[in-house]
Amino acid sequence: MRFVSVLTLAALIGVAAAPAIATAETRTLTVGISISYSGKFAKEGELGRLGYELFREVVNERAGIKIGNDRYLIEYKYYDDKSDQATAANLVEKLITEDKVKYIFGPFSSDITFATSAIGEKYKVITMAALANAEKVYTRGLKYTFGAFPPASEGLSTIVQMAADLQPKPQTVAIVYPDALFPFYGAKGAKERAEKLGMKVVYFEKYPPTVKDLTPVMTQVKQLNPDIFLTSALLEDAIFVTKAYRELRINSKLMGFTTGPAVIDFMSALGDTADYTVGYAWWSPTVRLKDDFFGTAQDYEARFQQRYKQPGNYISAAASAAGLVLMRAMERAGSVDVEKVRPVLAATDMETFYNVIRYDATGMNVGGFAVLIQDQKGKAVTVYPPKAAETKLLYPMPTWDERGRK
Amino acid sequence: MLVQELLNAVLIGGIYAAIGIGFSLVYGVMNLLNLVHGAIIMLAGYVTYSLFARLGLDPFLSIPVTMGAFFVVGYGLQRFVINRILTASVFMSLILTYGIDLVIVNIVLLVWKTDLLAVTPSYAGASWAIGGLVVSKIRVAIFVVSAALTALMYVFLDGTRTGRAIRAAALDKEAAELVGVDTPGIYAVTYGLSSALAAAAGSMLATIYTLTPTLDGIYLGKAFVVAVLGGLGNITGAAVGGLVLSFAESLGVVVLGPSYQEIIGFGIFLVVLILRPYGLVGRRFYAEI
Repeated sequence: MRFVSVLTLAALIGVAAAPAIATAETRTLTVGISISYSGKFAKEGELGRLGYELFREVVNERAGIKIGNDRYLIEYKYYDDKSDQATAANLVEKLITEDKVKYIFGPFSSDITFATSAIGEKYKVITMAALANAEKVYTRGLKYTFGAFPPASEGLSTIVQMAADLQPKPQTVAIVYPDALFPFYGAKGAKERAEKLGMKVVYFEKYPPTVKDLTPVMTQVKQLNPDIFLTSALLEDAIFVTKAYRELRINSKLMGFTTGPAVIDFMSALGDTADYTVGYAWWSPTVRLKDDFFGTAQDYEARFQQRYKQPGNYISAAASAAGLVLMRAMERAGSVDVEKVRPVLAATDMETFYNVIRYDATGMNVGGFAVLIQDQKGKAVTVYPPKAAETKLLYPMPTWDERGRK
Repeated sequence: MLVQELLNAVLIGGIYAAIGIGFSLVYGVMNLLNLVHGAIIMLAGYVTYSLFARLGLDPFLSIPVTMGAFFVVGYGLQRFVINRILTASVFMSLILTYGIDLVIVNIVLLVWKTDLLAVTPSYAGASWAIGGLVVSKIRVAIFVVSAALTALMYVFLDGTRTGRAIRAAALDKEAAELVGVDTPGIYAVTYGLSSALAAAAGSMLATIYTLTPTLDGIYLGKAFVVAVLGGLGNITGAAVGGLVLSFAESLGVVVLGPSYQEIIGFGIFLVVLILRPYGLVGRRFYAEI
């Protein structure tokens, strides 16, 4: 129904505009989105959709994208990939062959994007893989796949980078991660950075992604008592790890995560146990970046909050930014033809409210940086880099005894 | 540190036993592979969350509430739905219980959305430090409650008229009916009890795990392994199965590293299936009915 009404609206606008600009037409550009509504990425999928939706709303309220003489309103065709790689691949094939879309906005997770982007390549359809950044997704010689998150390996290693300048300087690092694509790259990046900066990696272990009770692994970490303890995992695991960290009364100087401290659910699930944990985000409303579409990071945040009654987040922001990058490429190319848009898109080097987006030869966004976020007294605050920091990092983490917690 | 790992294993074993007992009971009595079991544990966890978040009810105090409620739900489900297909082929019961599982998962998605939820009473995460060891208070509490429920079930099945009727129906349905046992009613009571045990597990696990709508499959998988290890249909067997599984997993981490923790658990599961298909504690007779 919604599709029909948008078409009607598009037609009406077209009719209304017709006398004024004789040659201009308002068309509809349908973008296919296969993303998780259910399964383990349901939450992240929802955040991704909010970002894509916000982009569409802003485009359409400004009467669409001006490409050549025409204006294009955006319409989405959604499917639920159930957080499953094979389902996602089938759905993307369906989007391309049955729904005839030429542009795909990507799903959440590198593992799923790994499969869907291959389908996009096969049919020469552009995938904006906004929510996937494991190097392996991009290093397969893909031509039609473009990211938004900076490389997976950059996130956790930014925490290590910051730690190198702290006093007392941390000496030992322990890293755990579930056996999956994105966590592995995050863990690997952090390990390499730590070794480069002269720290000793005393524990580097993966665990099966289906494991729900991480107490056995965490007992090993406790034994090694590392200065820095890093977990490269998604939200659910981050919560388990933190619970076990407290139950076993482990006392590191710095505790870092890929996903967690920057997400509200992490704090609400853990209460003040979440305090002092550090995570990174590919975006924060405090970063001093802007573009001429969404405005500043704060402008985006304000609009997001007004629209969805919840704080913004880097997943939604990346999804919105991917839309913006594609839109600008279409405008510059003056066409929606995939073969004309692709080279222009590949040459992207622009600042957005979200991050700098610049593609390397593989279509990965290598222009961006991570911001570090620490939970302080139940609030997530940006502590690094200096150009985004709201306040100072609390370091070292007080011990459980010092925190008065039994 | 090995002592710490072993201690963890004992406590996790208690959790696994709580997950597996109800599943084992239903299989033992009516030969039903109850795929709803994991979903009931999950749903009870969500109910516990709401009782905690809305009314401030302590998760351990909500155990009688969820047990009572899910006994009624389970009783009705068996009496009016599952009883109808018990004599049909095993595929019918798998399809039916899987369908109910899907319905429950979608109810959870509708009511509680996909947010990660946690029940965090003031003592969540607290632990005792004894010598160099740390013992989680909540895990000890879960272990104690699981052991108590297992003992109660044992006493109930052994010492009450209804309990004996359940065992009679498990041993021989026709013979039980000949001596006047109302097997459809007994099946409903059994399923109700199983659901109540699952609900108790769900209420307690909500305090240590994080609630997500995908927990049903994970709980069900553990329940299955625990029940088979102990011997399907054997209550004390489920307790043993829980301990064996958690020891296997914990030792797997120590000996081979974290990546192999599940391989060892499932490896033992396979060995038991091949060598002792009636379980570590089970008697051959039970497995043959």
